[in-house]
Amino acid sequence: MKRLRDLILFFAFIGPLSVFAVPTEFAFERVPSRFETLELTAGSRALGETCYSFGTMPDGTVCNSAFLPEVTQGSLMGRVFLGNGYAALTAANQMVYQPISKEFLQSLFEHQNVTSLEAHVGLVFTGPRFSAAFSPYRVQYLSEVHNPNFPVVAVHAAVERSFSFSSGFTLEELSGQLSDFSVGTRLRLLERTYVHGTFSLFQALTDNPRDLLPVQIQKGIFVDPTVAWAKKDLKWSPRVSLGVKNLGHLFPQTSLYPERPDFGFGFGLEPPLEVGQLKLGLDVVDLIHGPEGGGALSRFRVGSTYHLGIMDMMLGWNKSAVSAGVQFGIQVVQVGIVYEFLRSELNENTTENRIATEFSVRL
Amino acid sequence: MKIQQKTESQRNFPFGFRLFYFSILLSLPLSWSIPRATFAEDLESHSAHEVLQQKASALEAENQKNGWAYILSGGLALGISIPAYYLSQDLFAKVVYSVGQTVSVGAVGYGSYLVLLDNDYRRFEKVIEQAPAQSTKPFSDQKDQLSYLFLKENAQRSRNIRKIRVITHSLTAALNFVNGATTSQRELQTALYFIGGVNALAALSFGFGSSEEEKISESIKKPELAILAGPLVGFCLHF
Repeated sequence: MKRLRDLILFFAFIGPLSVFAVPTEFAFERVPSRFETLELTAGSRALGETCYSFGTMPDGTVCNSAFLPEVTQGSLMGRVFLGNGYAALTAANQMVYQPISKEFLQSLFEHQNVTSLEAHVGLVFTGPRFSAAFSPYRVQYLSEVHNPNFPVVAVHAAVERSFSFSSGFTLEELSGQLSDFSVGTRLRLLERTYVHGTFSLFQALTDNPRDLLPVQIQKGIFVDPTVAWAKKDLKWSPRVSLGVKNLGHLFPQTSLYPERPDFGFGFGLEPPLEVGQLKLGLDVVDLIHGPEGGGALSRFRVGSTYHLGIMDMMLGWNKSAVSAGVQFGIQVVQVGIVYEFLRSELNENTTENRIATEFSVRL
Repeated sequence: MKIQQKTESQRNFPFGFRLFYFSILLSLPLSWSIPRATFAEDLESHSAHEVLQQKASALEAENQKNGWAYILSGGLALGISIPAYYLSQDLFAKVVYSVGQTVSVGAVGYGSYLVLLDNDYRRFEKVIEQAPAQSTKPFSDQKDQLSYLFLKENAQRSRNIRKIRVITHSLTAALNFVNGATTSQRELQTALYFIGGVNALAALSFGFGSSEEEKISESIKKPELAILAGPLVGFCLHF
């Protein structure tokens, strides 16, 4: 009966399954691909992190600045995004901001084989042709216990603060024939504090804790310009967008966070429906450098959303995960939940389930 | 391996960055606008009563569409939220589904309100149509007169609401700026400045913009005031 119940919950996208540690000395040498995300929101995650192909996201914000002219009314939103594993929030903050002790490092070996956490707090203002976002706190944390016979812990904890400012406008004023084209740009200011390393239980007992996990600080300023074309007069309202990301400077440069400039484009459709609104999107990202360790297919991201009244139902796919989510919102309050099936990087034959929730207040 | 101890100054954005983005935030063209008027076009060729009827019909169609969307989506969301709440084991997932149930019930109620109840324009139009006509004046002139007065009254009400919003957003912005200037927490300070800036933009936008009701009222023609004196077949003065 228990096995049957687990199977039902698995196919109902509910209930996390633990990932068993692989008995190997392998430890990740780069940021887990699951953390290579720009927008840490329920809508973005549920849509497979598509951005270029969607005008307005389900939560009312705009990811692609070239589509800001489509916004008709301004709004201010405060939101909290929280992935499961929130019990590790204290550990993540202590790893980055506080002095760490040998006892604290030893306690990591007593945790689950894989502990991960993602959380984000932010304010977003979206208006016609203009948007601004402030994120005072965004944390990503992952610890994995390897090799049970000689335990090794791999830890990655990063806390970010950022501010972004976006502007977009149509080219109708330049020429009437260009009324379907629009351009936009986003300016991002970023400060990242992180630790990343591996150590054995023996090292945790003998070495200086901060020597094992030194704190690294990065600061960056980036510009992300985009150009888009959208034809709402046509039956399926096609839209195409091309953008460049990470034009700017990051100091100091590290191999862990290279933040290299790259191109991406997106293609979106809105099939006409009698009831509700359906949007489909396909993004192709990192055209030059490509995700590390991934093939051509790893550049693709697919997302779809169906809107009806107070509800948005979303599906998404990318190289790291398959996701499904739903958002409910009326007047001021909006809540969302996302279920993700992640492919384990250590063992591609296994998956882990993850739940993330988001609470928003709109003014 | 080099140890980097983070100092207080390293944890803060440089002052130049904060000054930079706040100056941009406050110097931008106003973009937080009152909902654009989609109805206040080409109204000079219509009488006040015709404008009232068109506005009532447009609002009724929009309310019917939105109302049924709320009812259907609320029912569907309720059907998902209730079982998902009892199947979920995660605390925050249960919170989301609990809030979802509340939102769903509210949506069904609000949708029913939109579908079943007439808007103010339709109700006034019905009052005009049901009122007995006075025999001394043409009935069409009465309807135009009353419709014009109703639209003017709506515009004045909308103007007063806009004034209240300007004052509210201005006070909120001022309070946020003062609180931001007096706090020592960097993240809280930045967040308060951000919210204050947004409220300042909103106050300016409402202050220099106008609502759809005001634009309609300015666009329609004032009906002629007819005074009939003497017998029924006597002369007529028009002002």
